[in-house]
Amino acid sequence: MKKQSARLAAGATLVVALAALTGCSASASGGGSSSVTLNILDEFTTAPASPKLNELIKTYESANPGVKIVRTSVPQGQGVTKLTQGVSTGNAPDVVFFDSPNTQQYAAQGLVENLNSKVAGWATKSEYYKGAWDSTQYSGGTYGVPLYSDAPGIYVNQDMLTAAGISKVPSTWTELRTDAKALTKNGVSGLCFGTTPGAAADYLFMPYIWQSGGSLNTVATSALPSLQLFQALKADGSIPQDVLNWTWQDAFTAFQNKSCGIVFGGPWNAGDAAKLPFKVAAGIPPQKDGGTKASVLGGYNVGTGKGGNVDAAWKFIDWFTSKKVLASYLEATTQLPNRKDLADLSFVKSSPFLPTFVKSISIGKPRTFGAQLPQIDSAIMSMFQSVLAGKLSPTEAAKQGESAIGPLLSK
Amino acid sequence: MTPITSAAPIRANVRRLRRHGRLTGILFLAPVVLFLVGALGYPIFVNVRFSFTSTTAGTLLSGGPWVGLANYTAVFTDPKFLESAGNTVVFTVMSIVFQLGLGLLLAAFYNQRFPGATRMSSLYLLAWAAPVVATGAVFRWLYDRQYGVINWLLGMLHLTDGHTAWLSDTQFALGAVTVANIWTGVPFYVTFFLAALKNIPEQVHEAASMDGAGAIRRFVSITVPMLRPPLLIGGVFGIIFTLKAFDMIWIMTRGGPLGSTETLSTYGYNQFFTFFQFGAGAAVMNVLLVVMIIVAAIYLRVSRGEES
Repeated sequence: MKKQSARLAAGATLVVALAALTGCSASASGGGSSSVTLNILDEFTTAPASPKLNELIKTYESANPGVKIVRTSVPQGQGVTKLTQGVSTGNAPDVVFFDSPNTQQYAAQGLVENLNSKVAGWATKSEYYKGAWDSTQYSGGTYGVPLYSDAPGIYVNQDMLTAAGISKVPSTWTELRTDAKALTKNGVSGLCFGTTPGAAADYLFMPYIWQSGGSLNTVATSALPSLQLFQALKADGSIPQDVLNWTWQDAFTAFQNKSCGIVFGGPWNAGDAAKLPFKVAAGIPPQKDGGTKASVLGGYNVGTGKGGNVDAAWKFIDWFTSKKVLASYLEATTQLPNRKDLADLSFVKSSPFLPTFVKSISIGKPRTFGAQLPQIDSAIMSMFQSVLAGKLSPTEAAKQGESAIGPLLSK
Repeated sequence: MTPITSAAPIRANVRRLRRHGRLTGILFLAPVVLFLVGALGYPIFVNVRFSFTSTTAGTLLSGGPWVGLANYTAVFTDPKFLESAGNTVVFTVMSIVFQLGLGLLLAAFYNQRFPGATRMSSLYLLAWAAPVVATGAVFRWLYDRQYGVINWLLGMLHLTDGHTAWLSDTQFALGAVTVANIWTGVPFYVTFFLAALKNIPEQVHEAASMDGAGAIRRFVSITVPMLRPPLLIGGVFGIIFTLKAFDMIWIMTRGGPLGSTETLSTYGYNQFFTFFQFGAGAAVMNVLLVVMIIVAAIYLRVSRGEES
């Protein structure tokens, strides 16, 4: 028995010693500069974003010989699943590029680190526009820093508009309704957009709710005017039934096919819009006559995950968001800047559409609705779909929306 | 000394098992038992545990706090869950009835002797083998309001105005998705029933013909009763597969519009991966699991009855 106890004790000591050594090694790799492996998770699977990120990673590795970067890329929208799986299986990434509206949800779920201590004296912080910086905040914490922003707008078939005797892009709700109705003929729908589940209803409809001067806390009244607008557009025959099962891309494809005269889109459509065989013009989301100017912000933030290498990850983020590096990334990917020191990028100036979307960003608000954003998004979508499908009146839909959204905002 | 004394009874047990020839049986069973416990038992256990806790992504490994039946209460009182359950019943019943019915009729047809019957029936498998992603995308185009073949055909025949929004109208969306699911499943049943039909001795049909039974009478009184076991197995498998069906719905409508094609599978998926309600998602999946276990138990009971 004594011999057995002695063996057990020796074994236990060995295990403890090995664990301690492993712990030492992990802590050395976490904070030191000798040898660090940084795991990056992003949603940039296509060109030009994916190869540009690879190029910048190589540049960083060359400048920091002790750092090895392992990149995992998943298709857009699947980052959250991958991140959740990573955290749940103990393989969390160190650096995460994520959709900015997900910030509060990720923070509440404990998927990303609070960077308050890192950004406290960070000089770059003052360069960001308020809306973009606000998108990183949750319960007093800073969960990432903004990378780039986008905001919605409209594209119009200018040839169709001219043929209908209209000279300018609709900029108000009244003009939108009149123009969409004028374009609706011969199998063409005046206004198209996508509301399939997962189409980000908050991104689609929040500008119109905010323009009525309210917030999600008072949806029964603040959403009513915009619900009435979309009901009127549907009643005019300007909105096709297909919008209930269309994605944003489906709607833009219909615009490309000349099945739609006006389409809700974003800066990501600018490249395709420039190649169309008809004249296209862009505008910011039409504003409520006499209302508050508003648009909504999307885009990407970059934060640190729960991989255990916060210092090394922050060092990479600090480098990646430095003026020269980020400018090179934005130029290559034609993503729009959200800070003052990068306002004059050449690709924006030379585009016929992008300055419009920069203007939309300038009046954009972040979707900081708390940790229950997906449920809120679903409730907003239900509200508008119910009206578009003719299931509920705007008043009924707005009331139902408030009772669904109210409890979610307090969580 | 302890190890020696404790090993003795084990050796004695092994000898006794060998004597009774049971050791071989246990060894044969071991891989199956290990597989069932590891690959099925553990995930089910974790899922059941989730459903009684308030788990977030951050506490997936450590486990969230115990909340009792709160997740089940939240799910059962959610009108969307009830709507999804109703849709699941409609989707499953319609799919199974038509998949089995059409599969059986087509199998009976291809069981006749005519040139190309075997080759034609084999071609059906191509539809079943096609990836659901492709099938779903093709059906989306077929159903397209403006450019879809279905609207073109119906319009040409003056059956509709040719502009029905099959997947965007809450009245039609579930039916449209169900038809696509039926189309995908029929070829499997054609092959399945065709194999079963080949096992029915021709003499039985010949004897019935000599007694004056027509083709329909032979089908109803001979073919269908003799296909009872495969019909039962096909039905049970079909119910389980259809209850779990997710990909076809997700590709075609993502559960929309307005939840009109939401089934328990898509509802549970959304709870997990869209809303991060891991407890509620687990509760939904457990409800589905219980339903499937009940279906399997009914099958076992009926098949035992048949055997006895």
